[in-house]
Amino acid sequence: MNTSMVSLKRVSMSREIVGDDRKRHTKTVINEVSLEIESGDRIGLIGRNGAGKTTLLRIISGIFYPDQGKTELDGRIKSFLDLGYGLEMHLTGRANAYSRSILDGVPKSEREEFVSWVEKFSELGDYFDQTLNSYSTGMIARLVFSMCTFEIPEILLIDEGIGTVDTYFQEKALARLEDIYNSSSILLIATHDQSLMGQLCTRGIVLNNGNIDFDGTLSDALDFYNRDK
Amino acid sequence: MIKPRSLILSSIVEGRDIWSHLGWRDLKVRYSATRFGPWWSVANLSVIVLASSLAVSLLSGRSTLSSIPKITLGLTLWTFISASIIESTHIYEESKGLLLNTTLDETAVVLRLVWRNWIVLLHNFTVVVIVFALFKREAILKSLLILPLSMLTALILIFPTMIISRLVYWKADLRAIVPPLVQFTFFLTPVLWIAPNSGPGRILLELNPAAWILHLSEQLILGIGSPWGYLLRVSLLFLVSFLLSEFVNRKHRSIKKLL
Repeated sequence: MNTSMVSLKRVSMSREIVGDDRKRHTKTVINEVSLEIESGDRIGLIGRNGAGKTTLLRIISGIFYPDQGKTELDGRIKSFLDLGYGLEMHLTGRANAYSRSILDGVPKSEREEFVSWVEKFSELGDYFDQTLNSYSTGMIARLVFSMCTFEIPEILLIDEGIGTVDTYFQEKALARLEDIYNSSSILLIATHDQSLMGQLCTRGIVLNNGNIDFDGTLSDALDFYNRDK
Repeated sequence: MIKPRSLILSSIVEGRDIWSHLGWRDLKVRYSATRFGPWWSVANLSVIVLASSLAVSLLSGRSTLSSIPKITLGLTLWTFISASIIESTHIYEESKGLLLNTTLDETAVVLRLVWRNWIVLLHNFTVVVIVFALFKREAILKSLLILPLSMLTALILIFPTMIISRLVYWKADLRAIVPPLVQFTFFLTPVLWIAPNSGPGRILLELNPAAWILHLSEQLILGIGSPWGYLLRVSLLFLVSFLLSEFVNRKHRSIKKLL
C-alpha cells in the first residue's frame, strides 16, 4: 500500500446563496476545519444534509479553493461525486468514453486503453457505438460506472455511494468496487447509509454546519451523531 | 500539493487538451443531427452577406460588387465576436457539471467557448475565399490575413467573455441585456456602412474596439489606408486584455462557489 496523505489546516469556505428576496447572502459552509488523514484511513463523513460534507470532499479533491487555510495532498486522487458529469446524449458511448478519458486527465497514450476497458467492462455490445439517446437508464449507469472505475486511485472520495446498476451488472460492479475500496490507501465516504459505512469505514467524522463536531472511531462517531440527532 | 489557480497563460497551455476537446465536442453535438454540420453556418453567413450587400447597395447607391468584399470581411469577424460574447452569458451554466466535478479551471471554459467559435470562423472563411475569388481576385492571397487577425481577436476576446460570464452570476439581469447590447453595437460598428473621415461616425470608429479590428482587416486585406495605426491599437488592446484577464483570474477565483 502506498503512503498517501491529506492534510487540512484551518480551512474555511463560504458560498453565496440567493435568498427569497433575490439578494445574495454569504453562508459559511466550512468553518476552520483541520484534519489529518493518513494511509490506511477509511473514513465515514457523517452529517445532516447541508452539513458541508460534499463541499469538504470538493475542497479535498481540489475542485473548490478554500477562502482560508491550507490544503495538502499527496497521492493520486479520484472523487466520485456526480458520476455522470460531462455526458453528452447526442454522442455515442465510445465518444463519451473518449471524452471522459480527456476530462479525467488520462494520458494520451492510455486513452485507447481506457475506451477499450470501458467497452469491455460495460458489456454494452453494439450499443457502445450508438448515441446515448438510445440507451436505457441501466445502460447509461453501466457506461458511467465503467468510466469511473477504470483507474484505482490512492485516495478515493465518494459522495453518497455509487448509483444503482441493473441486477445483471450488479455482481460485477460490486466486485470491482470491492477491488477499488480495498486497493485505495485512503477512503473518505459521505453517505447517510450507516450500514454501508459500517462495512467500509473504521473512522468517523461528524460534520455539523461546517464544523467538525466529532472525530474518532466509526462506532463512537455514529453513537455521537445518532444521540445528537 | 494542491496547485493554486493557474495564470491565464498556463490555463491556455496546460488545459489545451481539455478546452480544445470540449470546443470540438460542442460543435459535434450542436450539429450532430445535421448532414452538413458546421457548413450550415457557412450557408447562413452566405445568405446574410448576400442580403446585406444587396440592401446596402439599394440604400447607399453603391454597386453590390464594390461593397460585398468589405461586408464579407466585416460579417465574418463580427459573427465570431458577437457569438463569443453572447454565448459567454451562459457558458458557466452550460459547464456546471464539469466545474463542480472536476478540477477544470474556469478559464478553460471560456477558452472552450472562444475556440469553438473560432472553428466556426474557419469554416466561414470559405465564404471570404469565394467572395474574393469572384469579386476581388487581386486580394485573394491577402484575404488569408484574416486568419492571424482572427487568432489575435480570439486572444483579445478571452477578456470580455471572461468578464461577462462572471458578471452574469453577480447580476443575472445582464443575461438579458447583453444580446441586445451586442445587436446595438453592431449598428454602431462599420460593418455595413463606411466610416467617414470626420464627424460622429468617425468618433464611433475611434471609440469602438470591435471597429478597430474590422477596420484593420479592411486596411490589411482591401488596402484601404495604412494599417500601422490600427495594428498598434489592436496590439495594445490585446496587451490590455491579456493583463486584465490575468488580473481577473487572480483576484476573482470564486465562480465555482456561485454555481
